[in-house]
Amino acid sequence: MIGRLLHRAFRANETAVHELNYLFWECTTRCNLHCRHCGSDCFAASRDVDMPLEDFLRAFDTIPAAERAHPFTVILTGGEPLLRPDIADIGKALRGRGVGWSIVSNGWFYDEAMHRKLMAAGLGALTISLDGLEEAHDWMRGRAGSYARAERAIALAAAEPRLAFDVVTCVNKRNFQELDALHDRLEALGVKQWRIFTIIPIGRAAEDPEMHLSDAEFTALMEFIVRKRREGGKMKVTFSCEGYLGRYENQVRDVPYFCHAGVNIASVLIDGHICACPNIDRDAFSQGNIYEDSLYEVWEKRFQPFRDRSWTRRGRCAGCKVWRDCLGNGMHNWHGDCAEVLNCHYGKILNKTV
Amino acid sequence: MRKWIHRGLKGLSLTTALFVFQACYGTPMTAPEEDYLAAPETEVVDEALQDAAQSGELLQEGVEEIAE
Ligand code: SF4
Ligand code: SF4
Repeated sequence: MIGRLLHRAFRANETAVHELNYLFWECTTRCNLHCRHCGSDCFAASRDVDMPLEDFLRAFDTIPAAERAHPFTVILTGGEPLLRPDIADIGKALRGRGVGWSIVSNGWFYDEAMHRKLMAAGLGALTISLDGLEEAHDWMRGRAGSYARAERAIALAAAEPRLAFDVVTCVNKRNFQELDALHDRLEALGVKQWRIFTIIPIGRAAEDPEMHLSDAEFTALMEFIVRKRREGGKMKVTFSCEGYLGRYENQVRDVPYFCHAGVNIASVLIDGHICACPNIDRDAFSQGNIYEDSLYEVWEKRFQPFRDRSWTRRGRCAGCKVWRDCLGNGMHNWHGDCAEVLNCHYGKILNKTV
Repeated sequence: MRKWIHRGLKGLSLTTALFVFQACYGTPMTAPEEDYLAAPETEVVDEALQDAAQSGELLQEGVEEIAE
């Protein structure tokens, strides 16, 4: 209990200080794959044009150098960021400002030449998405050959000591049965960090029963992570930040649950909107636009819905006895009119999904 | 006061993990600039830096620092 109280105090203090450490830039919405679960409206020829680098830098430069927190990472996301021909110029411009940068990628274009180019431009961290062994991954990604390309990227990145690197897997009904085999494959490839998350039930994913784990499967997933962490192999397995996990808190992650959206995390979206994590409902929660507002001023003066979560005491969360620890779950679990939380991880573990 | 608590906790090595986080669709945080520059470079990176230097790509100040 004391640990929980201390963590609540820590979280309240961090929220009041709200140091910006983690800035997403949705630099393109173009993508070369057709993922079943993709929450964003990506297609090969997206209707959105890529945001010019100068526009992003103009927004970024509103953050006073003295105020820039350490560590500070700019995360290039998409779409598929490696479709941008100026990706190395972006990295060099950020390193020129003394800022670390990173990419979330499906790995398709990440060959040795790309690896060399990005490392020379100062790439500091990389996440490659892998959603199962070959059949399950290619099914999820909608393109044959995706697994082979992702595996090539993983092998290159895992052998690079300058990169903070991890693999992320979205667990669904298809890949759920092969998690042990996938674990062994990733470990054999030299991966040190494997992060697991589950789908947000919105858009295409909401209608697709194969994407969702039952309550029993979700609990089995927790047990899988606990087991792997106890076995203590060369690769650390972690569950993502996505929700409060009751008795599994401290067993499947290194630190207790804390949704940092809007507390330490901001994003510049493809059309200039300023929000927190890009998987949050942008229509409901964007706080401004870099084409009209100063990014830093918006960060300092707005973002109240992220920093005061009392509004989440509604629907099933209204009378919840663990609300003070959960605060209505991760912000990405609130969409549309926000009348009800989309996902209650704690409820899944208690086998009480409604 | 709150900033003092934040800085104090951040300075304690035991609590460092509390400040390291990662969003679901995000990457790990990058190492601080000093650690990144001090990290050992692989052959791949060395070669890439040489190639880039020869082709005049390394004009940006920050990247020149990485090469040093
Ligand atoms: S009901 Fe709401 S506050 Fe309670 S555990 Fe579920 S998501 Fe969290
Ligand atoms: S919004 Fe979701 S992904 Fe972002 S920090 Fe919160 S729980 Fe994590």
